[in-house]
Amino acid sequence: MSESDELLIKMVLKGNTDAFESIVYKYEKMVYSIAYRIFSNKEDAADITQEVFIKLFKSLENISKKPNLKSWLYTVAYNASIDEIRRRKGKDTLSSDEDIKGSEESFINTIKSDAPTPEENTLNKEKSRIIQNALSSLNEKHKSLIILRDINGLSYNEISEITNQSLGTVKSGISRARKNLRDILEKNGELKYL
Amino acid sequence: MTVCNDIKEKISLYIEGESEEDDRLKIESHITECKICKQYYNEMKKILYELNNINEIDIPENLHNNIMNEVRKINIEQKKNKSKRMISAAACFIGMCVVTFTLLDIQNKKALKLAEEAQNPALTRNIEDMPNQGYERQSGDMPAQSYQKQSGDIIYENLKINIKSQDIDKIFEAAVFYDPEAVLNDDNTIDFSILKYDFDDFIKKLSDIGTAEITDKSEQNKTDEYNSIFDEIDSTDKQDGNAINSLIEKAFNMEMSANYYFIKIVPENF
Repeated sequence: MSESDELLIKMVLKGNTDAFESIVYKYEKMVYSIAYRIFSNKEDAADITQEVFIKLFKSLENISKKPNLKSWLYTVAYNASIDEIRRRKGKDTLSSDEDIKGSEESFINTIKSDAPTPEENTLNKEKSRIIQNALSSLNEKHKSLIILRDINGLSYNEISEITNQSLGTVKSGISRARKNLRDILEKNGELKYL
Repeated sequence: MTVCNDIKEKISLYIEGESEEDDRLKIESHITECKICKQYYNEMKKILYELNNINEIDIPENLHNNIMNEVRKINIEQKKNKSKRMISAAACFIGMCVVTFTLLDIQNKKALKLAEEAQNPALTRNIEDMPNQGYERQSGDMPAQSYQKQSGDIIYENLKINIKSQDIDKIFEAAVFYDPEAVLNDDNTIDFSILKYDFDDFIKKLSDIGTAEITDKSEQNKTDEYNSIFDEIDSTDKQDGNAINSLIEKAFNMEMSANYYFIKIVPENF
């Protein structure tokens, strides 16, 4: 665990709630991003983020003995998101903030109309939206693997620890997830816009 | 699996330099010859690039505050529970001490009597008379009689504090810090008690939250009620240890309460 994390946890355990707020400031964006990428929904992502930090607060004494707070947060965020998705499966309650078809069409029209060259950041935003939409079509296992590896930049070893799978399984899982993502982009006719 | 499918399966690991040496050589040789796999390789490179550079996500504005509000509530609950556990443990300890001192006192009296009897054979009793038939207490046997009655008046002091703040959570947190039994009422007023010794510290804490002002102060002189407990002790059967101890506990609690302020906090702007 990094020295600053260790110190902050010790301060919280001595009753300093402000130190916990520093931990939240440091990691809330990371936790929220994972949950948002998995759910594609702000409300669900916020609920999961809150759940993760409450769990952290309640388990600080045990966590102070763990080697890596960041890794612990990734694991809890990942498991909480996957559990929630599994819990809802069949209930048809997963909803995405983005109207996938609508956004596709608007993007394609923009490109086709060849209107004034779009600003680079606008183009990047559109590309990010295409990727996020394709990601949301993957199954939760493949989606999570891509989020951890390609978006959050974790090593294969770290992912192996978080998902509790062997290194070989993680590698082949990520390869397959990327291949599926490419196939979705191709099927949607969006590969050419990347 | 055809060669092309095998290559496609492994190509993303090759792009990020994670493939085995055998695979790397096979892929390099294949994509120089196979146009379809070469195109696949280029597409996958773009996808990985876009994934690595995907837009950051902004967190909702109120998320941070929501998390911290929940954490503060849990923190207050944990403090309450901890204090309750400590109070129970202290009560058990005091109870055990009372029992121990009572037993020691009985033993001492027995020893004194036996010593007296040994020195004065006229007092010697038969074995049948010995204490395991039940030790008869006499006036003066109760350990509670060593309890000293307080000489000064017993005065309860009530304060009303108005505070200009809407941050009820923080005010309540400050109250619970000193009194785990603090009560947050439906009208957002807070009732709690605090040791007079801690009062200045508490006021300092409050001043960080809002402008606080003592708007009312009242006293209740409970000296008569307190003295009546000792009259009751005098008139109670000295063999009834439970009754005596409960009266002493009552007197002790009244004395302790005189060291506290009883406070009602009224947040304004509600």
